[in-house]
Amino acid sequence: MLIALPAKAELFGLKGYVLKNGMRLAVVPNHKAPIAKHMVWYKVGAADEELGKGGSAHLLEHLMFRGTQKVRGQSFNRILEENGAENNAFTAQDVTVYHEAVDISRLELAMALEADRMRNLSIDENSFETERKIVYQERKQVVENNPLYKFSEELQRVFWQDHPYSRPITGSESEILSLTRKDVKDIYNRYYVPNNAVLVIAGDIEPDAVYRLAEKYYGKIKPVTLPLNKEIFDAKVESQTALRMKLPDIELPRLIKKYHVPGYTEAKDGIYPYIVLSKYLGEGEVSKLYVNLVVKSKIATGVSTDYNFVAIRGGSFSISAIPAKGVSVDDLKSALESAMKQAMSELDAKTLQKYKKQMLSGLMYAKDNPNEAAQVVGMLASAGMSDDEIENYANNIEKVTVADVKKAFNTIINSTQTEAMVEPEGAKK
Amino acid sequence: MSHRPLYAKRHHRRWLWLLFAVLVIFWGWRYYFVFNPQKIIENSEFKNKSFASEVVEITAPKSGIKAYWMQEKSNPIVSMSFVFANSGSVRDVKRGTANFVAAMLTEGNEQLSSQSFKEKLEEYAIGISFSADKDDFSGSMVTLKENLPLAKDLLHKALVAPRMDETDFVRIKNQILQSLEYLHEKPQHRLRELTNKEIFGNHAYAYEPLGQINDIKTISVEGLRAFIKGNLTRDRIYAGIAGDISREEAEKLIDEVFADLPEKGNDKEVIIPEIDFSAREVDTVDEKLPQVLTAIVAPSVERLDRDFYPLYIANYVFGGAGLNSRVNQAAREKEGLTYGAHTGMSLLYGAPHLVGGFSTTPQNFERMSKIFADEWQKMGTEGISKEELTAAKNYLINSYNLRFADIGTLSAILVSMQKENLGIDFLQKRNFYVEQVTLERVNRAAKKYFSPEKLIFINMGNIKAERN
Repeated sequence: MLIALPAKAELFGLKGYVLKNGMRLAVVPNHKAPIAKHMVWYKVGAADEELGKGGSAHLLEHLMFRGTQKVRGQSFNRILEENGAENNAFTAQDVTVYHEAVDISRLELAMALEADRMRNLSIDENSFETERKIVYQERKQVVENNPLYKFSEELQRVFWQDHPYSRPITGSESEILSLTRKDVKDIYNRYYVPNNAVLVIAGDIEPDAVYRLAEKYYGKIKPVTLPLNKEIFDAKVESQTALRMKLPDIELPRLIKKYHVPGYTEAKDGIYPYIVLSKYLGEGEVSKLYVNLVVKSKIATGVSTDYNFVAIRGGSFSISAIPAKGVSVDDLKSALESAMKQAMSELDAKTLQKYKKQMLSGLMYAKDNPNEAAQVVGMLASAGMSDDEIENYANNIEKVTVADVKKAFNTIINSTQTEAMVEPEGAKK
Repeated sequence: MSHRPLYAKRHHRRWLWLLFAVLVIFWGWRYYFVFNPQKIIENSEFKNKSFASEVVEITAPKSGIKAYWMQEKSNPIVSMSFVFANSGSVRDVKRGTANFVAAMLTEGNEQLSSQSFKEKLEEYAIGISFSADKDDFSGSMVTLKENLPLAKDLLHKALVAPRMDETDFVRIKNQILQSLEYLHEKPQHRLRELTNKEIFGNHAYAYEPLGQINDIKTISVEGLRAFIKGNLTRDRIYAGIAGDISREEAEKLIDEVFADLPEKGNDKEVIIPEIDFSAREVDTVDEKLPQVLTAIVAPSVERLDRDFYPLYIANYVFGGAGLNSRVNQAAREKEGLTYGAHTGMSLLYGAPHLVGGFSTTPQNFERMSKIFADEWQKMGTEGISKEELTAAKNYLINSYNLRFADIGTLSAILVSMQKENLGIDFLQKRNFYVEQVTLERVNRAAKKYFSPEKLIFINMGNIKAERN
């Protein structure tokens, strides 16, 4: 039995373009309110940094708000503020993203400002020094104030080994303090170019008009040949690892199993069985592992799965669980392993159909909020998905069979993996 | 001699060229080096539009319950938000009851087990959720138009016939207890608890809605049922419906969900806390923390107070404008002392207050606190400038439409318009309210509320090292 889908089920109703300089544009019309979300996704992040230069992509993200030759000093934020924009930026392993939510009458202003700072950034020594202090404080506040960070960063190192994803996005404390202006300029000059960016605009607009304006503001920026990042091809992770930590100041034990599985870069449309598998095993309160471990056996108080397929240098599949009071992490681990096997033995066509229906029934909501639509489209497009691939999500999920999901499961359990546990210091083993 | 006129002529032409070159350089400079935001906006293809949908007050025919409704048909989605006012954790006899109830209402009904209920929600993409803050018990429902009949049935039964199976009750209890442990790992949460205690003493507001471990352990199903009976009643409902739904359907929806609730519940009166705002610094030493975390508290005004918009603007300039706020400009942007400082207005019922905070490494702490206190004093004595007022108004007016991005936010706005008594025409009038604020009014409010005599700092971290 197939789920009834419209002849052409479109996730967002997006329309894509490529500007003459190679910049990709994705437009998602949404006419509910006279507003737009404008996002520039640069395909460069912490994983592109040279060794020892951790945090330089993130520091550059901060310095992008410190003025260009035309829009000097802090005018960027001032201009956007007076025009009612909500603007911010974030840095991840593979991308650095700048975004503005604006009244529709200010969309062109956001385009002009973002286009200007794609190539004309000026970084003076004073701003650099101050901003380096700020990102140092940011690491202390956002990362180190949370006592669990030692476990999270250690897990990242153990799981990714020599791979660039093993390093924290903020950089380490000593790396931050030793960064130079040249380090951030290098990233800016190499990677902040139109042919390395995805422009996403969602809101009260017509796609062709946006395309014309994108050519007007961004089109005049010349493309630049991109460096090849060797690390992508070299860093293989081949050892199984385990991590066991005891930490002061944490109160809850946690168990995380993490597997190296193909992401979109390698698997292309092979990602969908993993997406379905993740939903089936551990997304939400009717997922198999949740029902088995939390609702029925009560060995855990929480369990969830996550499949990261957008990381361009390697995907991962994670299962996280928290043991119930009085249950050891080791007992939870055994219970989790048998629950996984049991879940797979219970998977038949009818069950699969039920879970797929859950995944597809709420797709309409994706169109509701232009801010969220822009975020998802930007993430998928930056991972290399074509417009059609993004729009055909429902059909691709629909095609997944029981055999596909079982194969994905077998790939996962036989993959290179890390088992990580953390317990409060002083807790009995 | 003979070449002199020629020289003179050439000289003359050279000036023309020079003038031309100057003009080219000037316009080129203007073109390449001056960014003119106003010109871009004036020439923009996209002009100002206002968010068109109209807010209408509707009355449910059977129960007589009034609600706000806004038809918005861009997607086949319906969203309803509602609150039971003053039925939040302030009503807890045992700390954590309201929040516990909120969690249990989505654990099935008399016909459906917890699992079957959740499967229905997933299968038909219906979102039903409840939550409790200190003041209110809130709920929301979002559904595709085609599944509205099922959604309203599930919501109705969640409210009037919650299942409350013992086994679900125990699971939720354990999950709440673990959430408390989880939160307690975070210094920001421990600071919030210290702040609550310092400001509210023994009043119910001193406790986070999630509750207290010892109380939660002794809460019973009967206790939850008693809370529902006494507080989730028709005499305190504010509801808002937005989306692809007609007026008649919306009126029916109100009846079908709420008409069976008891007409009246427990006393709605709230004991207003007496807050001592006198200036002080309260330090809690924790040498292991990488940063000192600070919360600040000061007096503020109610939503309908004449000083609300003036103080809103003063606060915006001081600590509400993100990186552009005065305190962030002074502490973050100039000196790099902190990742960020902020202030905002809390509208806790009967106890409005300004809240804010920052965090910084111990060696910066004294300097950071001084900048905050200096800026505070400056706001009180000097107020804001004409330019700052214009910038703040421009922000508030130009950003106004951004709030209409999400259908769930729309129905929530309809609720707060009623609960805060803002009037049915609020969405049309709000920018006018902002526009009419004068510099004099802002600065009078700033003088009154940004007073160094009424500013409390609650600090937590490795303070001793620095102070001694």
